[in-house]
Amino acid sequence: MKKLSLFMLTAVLALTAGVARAQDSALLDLLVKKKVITDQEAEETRAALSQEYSATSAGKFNISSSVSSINIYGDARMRNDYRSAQQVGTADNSTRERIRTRLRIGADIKVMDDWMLGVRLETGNSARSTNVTFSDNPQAPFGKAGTSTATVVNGVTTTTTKTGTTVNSVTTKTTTTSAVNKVNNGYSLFIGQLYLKYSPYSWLTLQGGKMPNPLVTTDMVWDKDISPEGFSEQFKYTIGPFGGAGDVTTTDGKTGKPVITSGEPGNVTVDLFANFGQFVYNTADPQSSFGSTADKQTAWLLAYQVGAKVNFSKTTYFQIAPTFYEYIDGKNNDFTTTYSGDPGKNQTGVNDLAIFDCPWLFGWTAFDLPMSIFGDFAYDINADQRASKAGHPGQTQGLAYQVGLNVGDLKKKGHWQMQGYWQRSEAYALDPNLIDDDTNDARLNMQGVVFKAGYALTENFSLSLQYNYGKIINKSLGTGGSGGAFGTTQLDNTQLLFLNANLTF
Amino acid sequence: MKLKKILTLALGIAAAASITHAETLVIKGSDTLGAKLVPQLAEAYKASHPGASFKIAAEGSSTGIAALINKSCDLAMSSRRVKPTEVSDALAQGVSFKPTIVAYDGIAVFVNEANPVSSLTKKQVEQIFTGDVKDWSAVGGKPGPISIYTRNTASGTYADFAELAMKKRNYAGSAQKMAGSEQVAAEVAKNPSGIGYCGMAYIHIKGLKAVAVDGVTPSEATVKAKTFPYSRPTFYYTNGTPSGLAADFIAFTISPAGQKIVAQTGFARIN
Repeated sequence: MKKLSLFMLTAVLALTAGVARAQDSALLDLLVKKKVITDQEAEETRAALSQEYSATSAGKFNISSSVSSINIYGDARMRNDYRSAQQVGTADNSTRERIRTRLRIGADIKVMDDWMLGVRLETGNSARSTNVTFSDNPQAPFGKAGTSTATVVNGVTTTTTKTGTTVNSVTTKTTTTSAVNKVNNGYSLFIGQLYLKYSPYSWLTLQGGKMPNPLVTTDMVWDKDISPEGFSEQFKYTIGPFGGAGDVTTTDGKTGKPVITSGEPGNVTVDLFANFGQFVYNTADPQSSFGSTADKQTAWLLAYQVGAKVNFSKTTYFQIAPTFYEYIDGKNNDFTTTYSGDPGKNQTGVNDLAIFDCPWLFGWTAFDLPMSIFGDFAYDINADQRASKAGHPGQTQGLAYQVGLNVGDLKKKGHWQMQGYWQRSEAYALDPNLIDDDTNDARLNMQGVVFKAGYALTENFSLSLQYNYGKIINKSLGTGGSGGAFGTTQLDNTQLLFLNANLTF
Repeated sequence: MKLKKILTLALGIAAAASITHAETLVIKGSDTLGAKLVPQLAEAYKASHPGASFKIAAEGSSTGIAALINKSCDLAMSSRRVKPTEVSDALAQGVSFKPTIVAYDGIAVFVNEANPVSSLTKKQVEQIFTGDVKDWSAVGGKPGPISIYTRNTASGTYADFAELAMKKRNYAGSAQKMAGSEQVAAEVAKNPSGIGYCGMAYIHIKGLKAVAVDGVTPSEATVKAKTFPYSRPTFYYTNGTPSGLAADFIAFTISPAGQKIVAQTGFARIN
């Protein structure tokens, strides 16, 4: 091949550098195969293209050769967040209305074919919320940081006086007030997920780190913003297809011999799965201290889930995932303090929780719309003891359930979705630290309705709303729980209305 | 007068040293090329160019390319193409890779000669080296665990084999990594349950048996025709267009005389 032609080939291929390097290589191979150019010319062209590519912006990103793919994803949301609540026995209301935003951006970095590193950065420093409230920092309008005052106790003086047999002690604190820096942490980016995933076989996935919830679950039991920390093992296996017509035996009219005709294969398959989690609930650190301080133990949450998804067709299916949650309540751990749920008392203890949970879902398509009815049922088998230790013996209240209907989805432009469900969560049924804080103000001893609707303006942008009304179940008990918007007050009812604009990528 | 003699002598020594230095070619890189082929090419070249000398270090393609980038060698031997990251590093150092195809090679998969398995499919090769298949009985052999021997990670053959034969999947965790092709061959020759790979120049070692892959055995004909699935070119890389001894040695390598040595050492000629 003449040098000019080779130069022209290089120039043409260079135009596609960074976009179609693999195609370039295939084209060179084809040209060699057709004997248009020699192997040596092809290699020189490859080298020239490689250098051209390295000089481009894309070529300056050097990614380790062991990385086989990087998937970057995320979402941003603007929300008008309205909540109100009324105390039991009064007409006293409290309302909160905030404009909030959030950003989540993640990357799945696949290394070779078996390993994956998952990272997700997100706004918000709460485990159950990634929202940042506009102008939430009182120190500086639109500011990310400012100063506030803090009172520091410098010393304590106790003066003792004696009048006859009476001893009087007067304690005086010496304080200083000074300016301190304050940062609106909501606008920081936090590592919301950081985990390693190992999938040596199609049926096995092992994960370790702060990971997406590996369990099949609902908002009744787990807030979907929570990324548990620890380890998980997931197994899956598909059996089938079943339900075919079966072989048909007929008789040959001429010979009289039986003729076996194979029937159509069935289309029913069953996806069996089992998920196990060992989550570090709260680390006791140190476990053992110098001196006489009592030893502490780390608390763990163990999850055992087995389930099946029966696919009757491509669009009709039923899934059920019975689960058992076991709490290893480490001695003297912060979360093993006895739970009460009453106002002003402990709201976070996980003593006497041994929860059987069974989320389920039946899905089908009608009028070209995906539809599903879904539900969840949970029962704390130690609810009696939990109620007794909370000071309410005999008030078992260990049941929680949810049932609802979903129509549509927001996957494509013009799609719409509506969903409604009823949820009842009794006082001692669930872990108050994990339940969704967007339903019944993250409280137990509440029941109510949730309604959601959305419309996809484009494939990646949608508008949605969410409404919730919750009502106390048993007024002789507190509406316990943590992470809600209204403290530990015993609520008669709570309402919530979200208006969202969602962008996903 | 005495000073003039001393100066003349010093200049003469310096000139001689300079000539000697210019006639030394530093070659680093691929063990596949550097174990036998390139030393024999160098010996043949020296026979007709007595002033030339060579320093050859064969510790893997990656080491040669790295040496070319940091300018500690004149010529890099490589059994694989340079990686994009290496091209970027080279450009940052003002080095521009110029490839020359030296020979063609087939990465032969071989077993111990006592092993009854003499043919594997590409899928079976992938399954064995990734650890999906762990017992010889799964591929038609006698029951028993498979012992895998591979090159180490500095080797171009290690990377090429992962790409050509394993769809870039991970090697099995049990795979034992060897420093050179001869070590891989020696281990498999000793171990009846062993399997390994290396350039086809090593398949005639006693105790080894090259297996056919998808019915094709590695040979000069099948490699040149690219019908053997694990065929590949092997390279010299220089910094830009070579000159001096490097250019002359490369020209010798691709000359008929050089290519005769290529064929004698078990590689496939380029023409």
